[in-house]
Amino acid sequence: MPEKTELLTVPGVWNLPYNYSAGETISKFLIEIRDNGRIMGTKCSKCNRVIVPARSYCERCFISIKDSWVELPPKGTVAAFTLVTMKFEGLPDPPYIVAFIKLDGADTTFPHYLTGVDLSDTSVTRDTALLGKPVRLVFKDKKDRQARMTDFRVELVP
Amino acid sequence: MARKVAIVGTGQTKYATRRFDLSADDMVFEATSRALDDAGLTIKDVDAVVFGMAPEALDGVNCMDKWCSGASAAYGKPFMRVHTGGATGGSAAIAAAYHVASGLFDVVLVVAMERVGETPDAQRVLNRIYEPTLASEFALNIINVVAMGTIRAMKSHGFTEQHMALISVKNHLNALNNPFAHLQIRVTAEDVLKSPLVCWPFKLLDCCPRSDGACAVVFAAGDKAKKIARVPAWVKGMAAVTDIKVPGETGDTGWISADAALNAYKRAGIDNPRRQIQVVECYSPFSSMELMLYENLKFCESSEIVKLAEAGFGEMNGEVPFTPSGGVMCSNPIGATALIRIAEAAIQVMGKGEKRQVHGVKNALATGTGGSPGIGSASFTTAMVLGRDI
Repeated sequence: MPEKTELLTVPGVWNLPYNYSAGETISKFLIEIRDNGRIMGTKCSKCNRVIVPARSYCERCFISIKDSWVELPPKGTVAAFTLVTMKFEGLPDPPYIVAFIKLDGADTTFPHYLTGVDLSDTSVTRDTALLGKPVRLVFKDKKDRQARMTDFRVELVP
Repeated sequence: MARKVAIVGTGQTKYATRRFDLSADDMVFEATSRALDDAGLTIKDVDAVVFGMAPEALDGVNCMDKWCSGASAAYGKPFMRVHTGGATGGSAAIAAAYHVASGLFDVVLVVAMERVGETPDAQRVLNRIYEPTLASEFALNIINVVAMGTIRAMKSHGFTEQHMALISVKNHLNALNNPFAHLQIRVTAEDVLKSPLVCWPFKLLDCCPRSDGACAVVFAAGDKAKKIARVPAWVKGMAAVTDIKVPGETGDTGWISADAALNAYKRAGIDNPRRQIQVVECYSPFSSMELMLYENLKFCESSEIVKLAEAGFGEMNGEVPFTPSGGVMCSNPIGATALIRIAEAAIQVMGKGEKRQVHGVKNALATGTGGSPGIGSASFTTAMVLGRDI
Protein backbone atom coordinates (compact mmCIF):
# COMPACT_ATOMS: atom_id res chain seq x y z
CA MET A 1 0.00 0.00 0.00
CA PRO A 2 1.29 3.51 -0.81
CA GLU A 3 1.99 5.71 2.20
CA LYS A 4 0.10 8.73 0.91
CA THR A 5 -3.45 7.89 -0.22
CA GLU A 6 -5.29 9.76 -2.92
CA LEU A 7 -8.52 10.94 -1.21
CA LEU A 8 -11.63 10.27 -3.30
CA THR A 9 -15.12 11.78 -3.40
CA VAL A 10 -18.16 10.16 -5.02
CA PRO A 11 -20.67 12.56 -6.66
CA GLY A 12 -24.39 12.59 -5.79
CA VAL A 13 -27.48 14.73 -6.52
CA TRP A 14 -30.77 15.14 -4.66
CA ASN A 15 -33.48 16.32 -7.02
CA LEU A 16 -36.79 15.25 -5.55
CA PRO A 17 -40.14 16.72 -6.67
CA TYR A 18 -42.86 17.24 -4.04
CA ASN A 19 -46.45 18.51 -3.89
CA TYR A 20 -46.97 20.12 -0.50
CA SER A 21 -50.49 19.83 0.95
CA ALA A 22 -51.67 23.25 2.12
CA GLY A 23 -54.67 21.91 4.08
CA GLU A 24 -58.15 23.42 4.29
CA THR A 25 -57.28 26.66 6.11
CA ILE A 26 -54.31 27.74 3.98
CA SER A 27 -56.16 26.63 0.83
CA LYS A 28 -59.06 28.96 1.74
CA PHE A 29 -56.57 31.75 2.53
CA LEU A 30 -54.81 31.40 -0.84
CA ILE A 31 -58.08 31.04 -2.80
CA GLU A 32 -59.35 34.33 -1.25
CA ILE A 33 -56.21 35.98 -2.60
CA ARG A 34 -56.71 34.45 -6.05
CA ASP A 35 -60.48 34.96 -6.44
CA ASN A 36 -61.20 38.10 -4.42
CA GLY A 37 -57.84 39.83 -3.96
CA ARG A 38 -58.42 39.74 -0.20
CA ILE A 39 -56.12 38.85 2.71
CA MET A 40 -57.90 36.84 5.37
CA GLY A 41 -56.65 35.90 8.82
CA THR A 42 -57.98 33.86 11.70
CA LYS A 43 -58.63 35.30 15.15
CA CYS A 44 -58.15 33.41 18.39
CA SER A 45 -61.30 33.73 20.51
CA LYS A 46 -59.26 33.37 23.70
CA CYS A 47 -56.18 35.63 23.29
CA ASN A 48 -57.68 37.77 20.47
CA ARG A 49 -54.53 37.51 18.34
CA VAL A 50 -55.16 37.93 14.62
CA ILE A 51 -53.00 35.45 12.72
CA VAL A 52 -52.09 36.19 9.08
CA PRO A 53 -51.66 34.13 6.94
CA ALA A 54 -54.58 32.25 8.46
CA ARG A 55 -53.81 29.27 10.67
CA SER A 56 -56.29 26.66 11.91
CA TYR A 57 -55.16 26.74 15.55
CA CYS A 58 -53.67 29.03 18.18
CA GLU A 59 -50.44 27.47 19.39
CA ARG A 60 -50.57 29.34 22.72
CA CYS A 61 -54.21 28.84 23.80
CA PHE A 62 -54.17 25.52 21.96
CA ILE A 63 -57.67 25.75 20.53
CA SER A 64 -59.00 25.44 17.00
CA ILE A 65 -59.66 28.83 15.38
CA LYS A 66 -60.37 27.58 11.88
CA ASP A 67 -63.85 29.11 11.67
CA SER A 68 -63.11 32.63 12.94
CA TRP A 69 -62.10 34.48 9.78
CA VAL A 70 -61.29 38.20 9.68
CA GLU A 71 -60.42 40.38 6.66
CA LEU A 72 -57.27 42.50 6.77
CA PRO A 73 -56.63 45.73 4.83
CA PRO A 74 -54.04 45.55 2.00
CA LYS A 75 -51.66 47.81 3.93
CA GLY A 76 -49.26 47.56 6.83
CA THR A 77 -45.67 48.22 7.89
CA VAL A 78 -42.13 46.82 7.53
CA ALA A 79 -41.58 44.67 10.65
CA ALA A 80 -38.12 43.42 9.64
CA PHE A 81 -35.94 43.56 6.51
CA THR A 82 -32.50 43.02 5.05
CA LEU A 83 -30.82 43.90 1.77
CA VAL A 84 -29.30 40.77 0.23
CA THR A 85 -26.20 41.49 -1.88
CA MET A 86 -24.58 38.06 -2.27
CA LYS A 87 -25.68 35.28 -4.61
CA PHE A 88 -26.92 32.10 -2.90
CA GLU A 89 -27.24 29.01 -5.08
CA GLY A 90 -30.85 28.32 -6.07
CA LEU A 91 -32.01 31.71 -4.73
CA PRO A 92 -32.63 34.88 -6.79
CA ASP A 93 -29.88 37.08 -8.19
CA PRO A 94 -29.06 39.96 -5.81
CA PRO A 95 -29.68 42.70 -4.91
CA TYR A 96 -33.13 42.34 -3.35
CA ILE A 97 -34.82 43.12 -0.04
CA VAL A 98 -36.52 40.36 1.95
CA ALA A 99 -38.84 41.59 4.66
CA PHE A 100 -41.44 40.51 7.20
CA ILE A 101 -44.64 42.53 6.79
CA LYS A 102 -47.19 43.29 9.49
CA LEU A 103 -50.62 44.17 8.09
CA ASP A 104 -52.64 46.78 10.00
CA GLY A 105 -54.75 44.89 12.52
CA ALA A 106 -52.66 41.71 12.39
CA ASP A 107 -50.59 40.39 15.30
CA THR A 108 -48.30 38.23 13.17
CA THR A 109 -46.13 38.91 10.11
CA PHE A 110 -45.26 37.18 6.84
CA PRO A 111 -42.20 37.18 4.58
CA HIS A 112 -42.17 38.84 1.15
CA TYR A 113 -39.87 40.82 -1.13
CA LEU A 114 -40.04 44.56 -0.50
CA THR A 115 -40.39 46.59 -3.72
CA GLY A 116 -40.49 50.30 -4.41
CA VAL A 117 -37.08 50.94 -2.82
CA ASP A 118 -34.11 52.38 -4.74
CA LEU A 119 -31.65 49.55 -4.04
CA SER A 120 -28.67 51.68 -5.02
CA ASP A 121 -29.48 54.19 -2.26
CA THR A 122 -27.35 52.83 0.57
CA SER A 123 -28.60 55.53 2.96
CA VAL A 124 -31.95 53.69 2.83
CA THR A 125 -30.95 50.07 2.31
CA ARG A 126 -28.06 50.08 4.82
CA ASP A 127 -29.84 51.85 7.65
CA THR A 128 -32.43 50.88 10.24
CA ALA A 129 -34.85 53.65 9.15
CA LEU A 130 -36.91 51.36 6.87
CA LEU A 131 -38.28 49.62 9.99
CA GLY A 132 -41.88 50.60 10.65
CA LYS A 133 -42.30 52.33 7.27
CA PRO A 134 -45.76 51.93 5.62
CA VAL A 135 -46.31 49.46 2.76
CA ARG A 136 -49.23 48.49 0.55
CA LEU A 137 -50.10 45.26 -1.23
CA VAL A 138 -50.45 45.48 -5.01
CA PHE A 139 -52.36 42.51 -6.48
CA LYS A 140 -51.73 41.08 -9.94
CA ASP A 141 -54.55 41.10 -12.51
CA LYS A 142 -57.09 38.43 -11.61
CA LYS A 143 -56.24 36.32 -14.68
CA ASP A 144 -52.59 36.10 -13.62
CA ARG A 145 -53.21 35.00 -10.02
CA GLN A 146 -52.31 31.43 -9.06
CA ALA A 147 -53.42 31.20 -5.41
CA ARG A 148 -49.91 31.92 -4.16
CA MET A 149 -48.33 34.55 -1.93
CA THR A 150 -46.71 35.86 -5.12
CA ASP A 151 -50.17 36.92 -6.43
CA PHE A 152 -49.35 40.28 -4.87
CA ARG A 153 -46.26 42.33 -4.27
CA VAL A 154 -45.42 44.49 -1.28
CA GLU A 155 -44.55 48.08 -2.14
CA LEU A 156 -43.09 50.79 0.06
CA VAL A 157 -45.49 53.75 0.29
CA PRO A 158 -43.44 56.74 -0.91
CA MET B 1 -32.53 16.95 39.34
CA ALA B 2 -33.23 13.29 40.00
CA ARG B 3 -29.62 12.10 40.21
CA LYS B 4 -26.34 14.01 40.03
CA VAL B 5 -24.69 13.99 36.60
CA ALA B 6 -21.24 15.11 35.42
CA ILE B 7 -19.22 15.28 32.22
CA VAL B 8 -16.15 13.03 32.50
CA GLY B 9 -14.69 13.24 29.00
CA THR B 10 -14.82 15.11 25.71
CA GLY B 11 -13.54 14.43 22.19
CA GLN B 12 -13.41 16.51 19.04
CA THR B 13 -12.17 16.23 15.49
CA LYS B 14 -10.26 19.06 13.86
CA TYR B 15 -12.89 21.11 12.03
CA ALA B 16 -12.41 22.11 8.38
CA THR B 17 -14.41 23.00 5.27
CA ARG B 18 -13.76 19.49 3.99
CA ARG B 19 -12.31 16.52 5.86
CA PHE B 20 -11.47 14.52 2.75
CA ASP B 21 -9.41 12.18 4.94
CA LEU B 22 -12.39 10.94 6.95
CA SER B 23 -15.66 9.29 5.89
CA ALA B 24 -18.74 10.33 7.91
CA ASP B 25 -18.44 7.37 10.26
CA ASP B 26 -14.63 7.83 10.52
CA MET B 27 -15.33 11.32 11.79
CA VAL B 28 -17.76 10.05 14.44
CA PHE B 29 -15.32 7.28 15.41
CA GLU B 30 -12.54 9.82 15.89
CA ALA B 31 -14.61 12.09 18.17
CA THR B 32 -16.13 9.16 20.08
CA SER B 33 -12.84 7.37 20.72
CA ARG B 34 -11.17 10.62 21.78
CA ALA B 35 -13.97 11.23 24.33
CA LEU B 36 -13.64 7.68 25.69
CA ASP B 37 -9.83 8.06 25.85
CA ASP B 38 -10.21 11.39 27.65
CA ALA B 39 -12.44 9.69 30.25
CA GLY B 40 -10.24 6.58 30.40
CA LEU B 41 -13.22 4.40 29.40
CA THR B 42 -13.89 1.79 26.71
CA ILE B 43 -16.99 0.83 24.72
CA LYS B 44 -17.79 -1.69 27.51
CA ASP B 45 -18.41 1.17 29.96
CA VAL B 46 -21.04 2.89 27.79
CA ASP B 47 -24.66 2.09 28.73
CA ALA B 48 -26.47 4.11 26.02
CA VAL B 49 -25.75 6.48 23.13
CA VAL B 50 -27.46 9.67 21.91
CA PHE B 51 -26.63 10.85 18.38
CA GLY B 52 -27.10 14.36 17.00
CA MET B 53 -27.28 15.55 13.41
CA ALA B 54 -29.18 18.48 11.84
CA PRO B 55 -30.98 18.66 8.40
CA GLU B 56 -29.99 15.65 6.34
CA ALA B 57 -29.80 17.51 3.04
CA LEU B 58 -26.71 19.32 4.39
CA ASP B 59 -24.90 15.98 4.33
CA GLY B 60 -26.93 14.50 1.46
CA VAL B 61 -27.59 11.21 3.26
CA ASN B 62 -30.86 10.20 4.88
CA CYS B 63 -30.66 8.74 8.38
CA MET B 64 -26.94 9.29 8.82
CA ASP B 65 -27.51 7.84 12.33
CA LYS B 66 -27.63 4.34 10.78
CA TRP B 67 -24.31 4.83 9.01
CA CYS B 68 -22.66 6.29 12.11
CA SER B 69 -24.17 4.13 14.89
CA GLY B 70 -21.30 1.65 14.88
CA ALA B 71 -18.79 4.51 15.10
CA SER B 72 -20.78 5.95 18.03
CA ALA B 73 -19.99 2.98 20.33
CA ALA B 74 -23.67 1.94 20.07
CA TYR B 75 -23.10 -1.75 19.18
CA GLY B 76 -25.58 -3.72 21.29
CA LYS B 77 -26.80 -0.66 23.21
CA PRO B 78 -29.83 1.67 23.24
CA PHE B 79 -29.44 4.42 20.61
CA MET B 80 -31.50 7.46 19.65
CA ARG B 81 -31.11 10.44 17.37
CA VAL B 82 -32.03 13.98 18.45
CA HIS B 83 -32.52 16.89 16.05
CA THR B 84 -33.38 20.53 16.85
CA GLY B 85 -31.43 22.28 14.06
CA GLY B 86 -28.52 24.33 15.36
CA ALA B 87 -29.50 23.41 18.93
CA THR B 88 -29.15 19.68 18.12
CA GLY B 89 -25.96 19.24 20.13
CA GLY B 90 -27.49 21.00 23.15
CA SER B 91 -30.71 18.98 22.99
CA ALA B 92 -28.81 15.71 22.46
CA ALA B 93 -26.56 16.44 25.47
CA ILE B 94 -29.60 17.22 27.63
CA ALA B 95 -31.19 13.94 26.49
CA ALA B 96 -27.99 12.08 27.47
CA ALA B 97 -27.88 13.81 30.87
CA TYR B 98 -31.58 12.95 31.42
CA HIS B 99 -30.72 9.29 30.72
CA VAL B 100 -28.19 9.36 33.56
CA ALA B 101 -30.34 11.48 35.90
CA SER B 102 -33.19 8.99 35.50
CA GLY B 103 -31.16 6.33 37.28
CA LEU B 104 -31.55 3.85 34.43
CA PHE B 105 -28.07 4.40 32.93
CA ASP B 106 -24.72 5.18 34.60
CA VAL B 107 -22.58 6.20 31.62
CA VAL B 108 -24.12 7.74 28.48
CA LEU B 109 -22.20 8.98 25.47
CA VAL B 110 -23.49 11.73 23.20
CA VAL B 111 -21.91 12.30 19.81
CA ALA B 112 -22.97 14.81 17.16
CA MET B 113 -21.68 15.46 13.66
CA GLU B 114 -22.25 17.32 10.41
CA ARG B 115 -20.64 17.57 7.00
CA VAL B 116 -21.66 21.03 5.82
CA GLY B 117 -18.97 21.08 3.14
CA GLU B 118 -20.38 18.21 1.04
CA THR B 119 -22.88 20.48 -0.74
CA PRO B 120 -21.68 23.73 -2.34
CA ASP B 121 -24.15 26.14 -0.65
CA ALA B 122 -25.60 25.26 2.76
CA GLN B 123 -28.03 28.20 2.60
CA ARG B 124 -29.81 26.52 -0.31
CA VAL B 125 -30.57 23.64 2.07
CA LEU B 126 -31.44 25.98 4.92
CA ASN B 127 -33.96 27.80 2.69
CA ARG B 128 -35.90 24.53 2.80
CA ILE B 129 -36.42 24.63 6.56
CA TYR B 130 -39.19 27.21 6.01
CA GLU B 131 -42.88 26.45 5.51
CA PRO B 132 -43.32 25.39 1.86
CA THR B 133 -46.74 26.83 0.92
CA LEU B 134 -46.36 30.41 2.24
CA ALA B 135 -42.78 31.22 3.16
CA SER B 136 -39.86 29.41 1.56
CA GLU B 137 -40.25 31.02 -1.88
CA PHE B 138 -39.13 34.39 -0.48
CA ALA B 139 -35.44 33.50 -0.38
CA LEU B 140 -35.34 33.13 3.39
CA ASN B 141 -32.27 31.52 4.87
CA ILE B 142 -30.52 31.62 8.22
CA ILE B 143 -28.18 34.47 7.30
CA ASN B 144 -30.86 36.89 6.14
CA VAL B 145 -33.31 36.07 8.93
CA VAL B 146 -30.62 36.66 11.58
CA ALA B 147 -29.64 39.85 9.71
CA MET B 148 -33.25 41.03 10.06
CA GLY B 149 -33.18 40.48 13.83
CA THR B 150 -29.82 42.23 14.00
CA ILE B 151 -31.12 45.34 12.20
CA ARG B 152 -33.96 45.58 14.75
CA ALA B 153 -31.46 45.18 17.60
CA MET B 154 -29.18 47.87 16.12
CA LYS B 155 -32.14 50.25 16.13
CA SER B 156 -33.28 49.42 19.68
CA HIS B 157 -29.84 49.04 21.30
CA GLY B 158 -27.62 51.39 19.33
CA PHE B 159 -24.79 49.03 18.45
CA THR B 160 -23.15 49.37 15.04
CA GLU B 161 -21.21 47.36 12.46
CA GLN B 162 -18.03 48.58 14.20
CA HIS B 163 -19.08 46.90 17.48
CA MET B 164 -19.88 43.71 15.60
CA ALA B 165 -16.40 43.82 14.01
CA LEU B 166 -14.80 43.89 17.48
CA ILE B 167 -16.53 40.59 18.32
CA SER B 168 -15.33 39.02 15.07
CA VAL B 169 -11.72 40.11 15.72
CA LYS B 170 -11.87 38.66 19.25
CA ASN B 171 -13.28 35.30 18.15
CA HIS B 172 -10.76 34.87 15.33
CA LEU B 173 -7.96 35.69 17.77
CA ASN B 174 -9.27 33.10 20.27
CA ALA B 175 -9.47 30.42 17.58
CA LEU B 176 -5.68 30.65 17.13
CA ASN B 177 -5.41 29.07 20.62
CA ASN B 178 -7.77 26.18 19.80
CA PRO B 179 -6.18 23.26 17.91
CA PHE B 180 -9.64 22.06 16.76
CA ALA B 181 -10.84 25.41 15.33
CA HIS B 182 -11.64 25.56 11.61
CA LEU B 183 -10.75 29.19 10.80
CA GLN B 184 -7.35 30.08 12.19
CA ILE B 185 -6.71 33.51 10.77
CA ARG B 186 -5.87 36.82 12.39
CA VAL B 187 -8.24 39.58 11.25
CA THR B 188 -8.49 43.28 12.04
CA ALA B 189 -11.67 45.33 12.46
CA GLU B 190 -10.85 46.92 9.11
CA ASP B 191 -10.64 43.47 7.48
CA VAL B 192 -14.12 42.63 8.85
CA LEU B 193 -15.67 45.94 7.75
CA LYS B 194 -14.12 45.68 4.27
CA SER B 195 -15.01 42.01 3.68
CA PRO B 196 -17.76 41.43 1.06
CA LEU B 197 -21.32 42.36 2.08
CA VAL B 198 -23.54 39.24 2.30
CA CYS B 199 -26.74 40.93 3.43
CA TRP B 200 -26.71 44.13 5.40
CA PRO B 201 -25.36 44.43 8.09
CA PHE B 202 -23.41 41.15 7.69
CA LYS B 203 -20.07 41.10 5.92
CA LEU B 204 -18.41 37.75 5.25
CA LEU B 205 -16.25 38.04 8.39
CA ASP B 206 -19.33 38.60 10.57
CA CYS B 207 -20.50 35.09 9.57
CA CYS B 208 -19.47 31.56 10.55
CA PRO B 209 -17.85 29.18 8.05
CA ARG B 210 -19.44 25.88 7.02
CA SER B 211 -17.53 23.03 8.59
CA ASP B 212 -17.13 19.26 8.66
CA GLY B 213 -16.60 17.73 12.07
CA ALA B 214 -17.84 15.75 15.07
CA CYS B 215 -17.81 16.14 18.84
CA ALA B 216 -18.52 13.66 21.65
CA VAL B 217 -19.12 14.02 25.39
CA VAL B 218 -19.38 11.34 28.10
CA PHE B 219 -21.87 11.85 30.95
CA ALA B 220 -21.67 9.75 34.15
CA ALA B 221 -23.69 9.41 37.35
CA GLY B 222 -22.43 11.10 40.54
CA ASP B 223 -20.40 8.46 42.40
CA LYS B 224 -19.09 6.97 39.20
CA ALA B 225 -18.08 10.37 37.82
CA LYS B 226 -15.85 11.00 40.85
CA LYS B 227 -14.02 7.72 40.17
CA ILE B 228 -13.69 8.29 36.41
CA ALA B 229 -12.49 11.91 36.32
CA ARG B 230 -10.01 13.79 38.49
CA VAL B 231 -12.15 16.93 38.04
CA PRO B 232 -15.62 16.13 36.67
CA ALA B 233 -17.66 19.01 35.18
CA TRP B 234 -20.90 18.80 37.16
CA VAL B 235 -24.20 19.60 35.47
CA LYS B 236 -25.60 22.22 37.85
CA GLY B 237 -28.51 23.30 35.68
CA MET B 238 -29.85 22.60 32.21
CA ALA B 239 -32.93 23.70 30.31
CA ALA B 240 -34.47 23.89 26.85
CA VAL B 241 -37.22 26.13 25.47
CA THR B 242 -39.22 26.17 22.24
CA ASP B 243 -39.91 29.72 21.06
CA ILE B 244 -42.55 30.07 18.35
CA LYS B 245 -42.82 33.47 16.73
CA VAL B 246 -42.68 35.41 13.49
CA PRO B 247 -40.23 38.35 13.28
CA GLY B 248 -41.96 41.59 14.29
CA GLU B 249 -45.15 40.00 15.60
CA THR B 250 -46.96 41.70 18.49
CA GLY B 251 -44.75 41.59 21.58
CA ASP B 252 -41.62 40.35 19.74
CA THR B 253 -38.50 42.28 20.70
CA GLY B 254 -36.34 40.67 18.01
CA TRP B 255 -34.41 38.90 20.77
CA ILE B 256 -33.90 35.14 21.06
CA SER B 257 -35.79 33.69 24.04
CA ALA B 258 -33.73 33.92 27.24
CA ASP B 259 -35.86 31.37 29.07
CA ALA B 260 -33.53 28.38 28.62
CA ALA B 261 -30.63 30.23 30.25
CA LEU B 262 -32.84 31.71 32.98
CA ASN B 263 -34.28 28.28 33.82
CA ALA B 264 -30.79 26.75 33.89
CA TYR B 265 -29.56 29.58 36.18
CA LYS B 266 -32.46 28.95 38.57
CA ARG B 267 -31.66 25.26 38.80
CA ALA B 268 -27.94 26.02 39.27
CA GLY B 269 -28.58 28.63 41.98
CA ILE B 270 -27.17 31.45 39.85
CA ASP B 271 -28.74 34.82 40.51
CA ASN B 272 -25.90 37.05 39.27
CA PRO B 273 -24.33 35.43 36.20
CA ARG B 274 -21.79 38.24 35.75
CA ARG B 275 -20.28 37.41 39.18
CA GLN B 276 -20.96 33.67 39.33
CA ILE B 277 -20.05 32.52 35.79
CA GLN B 278 -16.39 32.85 34.76
CA VAL B 279 -16.59 31.74 31.12
CA VAL B 280 -19.31 31.46 28.45
CA GLU B 281 -19.36 29.26 25.36
CA CYS B 282 -22.37 30.80 23.62
CA TYR B 283 -23.97 29.79 20.34
CA SER B 284 -23.34 32.82 18.16
CA PRO B 285 -22.63 32.04 14.49
CA PHE B 286 -22.89 35.77 13.69
CA SER B 287 -20.99 38.58 15.41
CA SER B 288 -24.17 40.46 16.36
CA MET B 289 -25.59 37.47 18.23
CA GLU B 290 -22.86 37.59 20.85
CA LEU B 291 -23.60 41.28 21.53
CA MET B 292 -27.30 40.45 21.86
CA LEU B 293 -26.45 37.57 24.22
CA TYR B 294 -24.63 39.89 26.66
CA GLU B 295 -28.06 41.22 27.58
CA ASN B 296 -30.02 38.07 26.79
CA LEU B 297 -27.94 35.94 29.16
CA LYS B 298 -28.24 38.69 31.80
CA PHE B 299 -24.61 39.80 31.85
CA CYS B 300 -25.78 43.41 31.45
CA GLU B 301 -28.72 45.74 31.02
CA SER B 302 -29.84 46.55 27.49
CA SER B 303 -28.32 50.04 27.69
CA GLU B 304 -24.85 48.60 28.40
CA ILE B 305 -24.23 46.46 25.29
CA VAL B 306 -22.24 49.15 23.48
CA LYS B 307 -20.19 49.94 26.60
CA LEU B 308 -19.35 46.25 27.14
CA ALA B 309 -18.36 45.75 23.49
CA GLU B 310 -16.05 48.78 23.58
CA ALA B 311 -14.50 47.64 26.89
CA GLY B 312 -13.65 44.17 25.51
CA PHE B 313 -15.96 42.52 28.07
CA GLY B 314 -15.82 39.08 26.40
CA GLU B 315 -12.10 39.04 25.46
CA MET B 316 -9.72 36.47 26.97
CA ASN B 317 -8.47 39.06 29.46
CA GLY B 318 -11.86 40.80 29.70
CA GLU B 319 -14.29 40.60 32.60
CA VAL B 320 -16.01 37.37 31.45
CA PRO B 321 -14.42 35.62 28.46
CA PHE B 322 -16.94 34.59 25.80
CA THR B 323 -16.00 31.68 23.47
CA PRO B 324 -12.28 31.14 24.25
CA SER B 325 -12.50 28.39 21.58
CA GLY B 326 -13.19 30.95 18.85
CA GLY B 327 -16.81 29.85 18.99
CA VAL B 328 -19.28 29.16 16.23
CA MET B 329 -17.86 32.05 14.16
CA CYS B 330 -14.72 29.96 13.63
CA SER B 331 -16.16 26.37 13.44
CA ASN B 332 -19.71 25.38 12.55
CA PRO B 333 -20.43 21.70 11.84
CA ILE B 334 -24.11 22.50 12.47
CA GLY B 335 -25.43 19.37 14.25
CA ALA B 336 -22.32 19.20 16.45
CA THR B 337 -21.93 22.92 17.13
CA ALA B 338 -24.05 23.23 20.30
CA LEU B 339 -22.37 20.11 21.70
CA ILE B 340 -18.97 21.71 21.06
CA ARG B 341 -20.12 24.59 23.29
CA ILE B 342 -20.81 22.07 26.09
CA ALA B 343 -17.54 20.20 25.49
CA GLU B 344 -15.57 23.47 25.56
CA ALA B 345 -17.38 24.62 28.74
CA ALA B 346 -16.53 21.24 30.32
CA ILE B 347 -12.89 21.60 29.21
CA GLN B 348 -12.76 24.98 30.99
CA VAL B 349 -14.22 23.53 34.22
CA MET B 350 -11.91 20.50 34.08
CA GLY B 351 -8.88 22.76 33.49
CA LYS B 352 -7.93 21.08 30.22
CA GLY B 353 -8.06 24.19 28.02
CA GLU B 354 -4.28 24.56 27.56
CA LYS B 355 -3.68 27.77 25.56
CA ARG B 356 -7.38 28.72 25.69
CA GLN B 357 -7.83 27.99 29.43
CA VAL B 358 -9.49 30.73 31.49
CA HIS B 359 -8.06 30.85 35.02
CA GLY B 360 -10.21 30.29 38.10
CA VAL B 361 -13.28 28.79 36.38
CA LYS B 362 -15.86 27.66 38.94
CA ASN B 363 -18.89 27.82 36.65
CA ALA B 364 -19.16 27.78 32.86
CA LEU B 365 -22.21 28.37 30.67
CA ALA B 366 -22.88 26.69 27.31
CA THR B 367 -25.82 27.65 25.09
CA GLY B 368 -27.42 26.37 21.91
CA THR B 369 -29.75 27.97 19.39
CA GLY B 370 -31.51 26.27 16.50
CA GLY B 371 -34.35 26.70 14.06
CA SER B 372 -35.45 30.16 13.00
CA PRO B 373 -38.29 32.57 13.64
CA GLY B 374 -40.81 32.53 10.80
CA ILE B 375 -44.17 31.19 9.64
CA GLY B 376 -44.47 27.49 10.44
CA SER B 377 -41.13 27.63 12.21
CA ALA B 378 -39.67 27.68 15.71
CA SER B 379 -36.48 28.57 17.52
CA PHE B 380 -35.03 26.07 19.96
CA THR B 381 -32.69 27.21 22.70
CA THR B 382 -30.71 25.17 25.20
CA ALA B 383 -28.50 26.11 28.15
CA MET B 384 -26.26 24.11 30.48
CA VAL B 385 -24.39 25.40 33.52
CA LEU B 386 -21.36 23.26 34.38
CA GLY B 387 -19.41 23.67 37.63
CA ARG B 388 -16.41 22.41 39.56
CA ASP B 389 -18.51 21.79 42.66
CA ILE B 390 -21.99 20.40 42.86
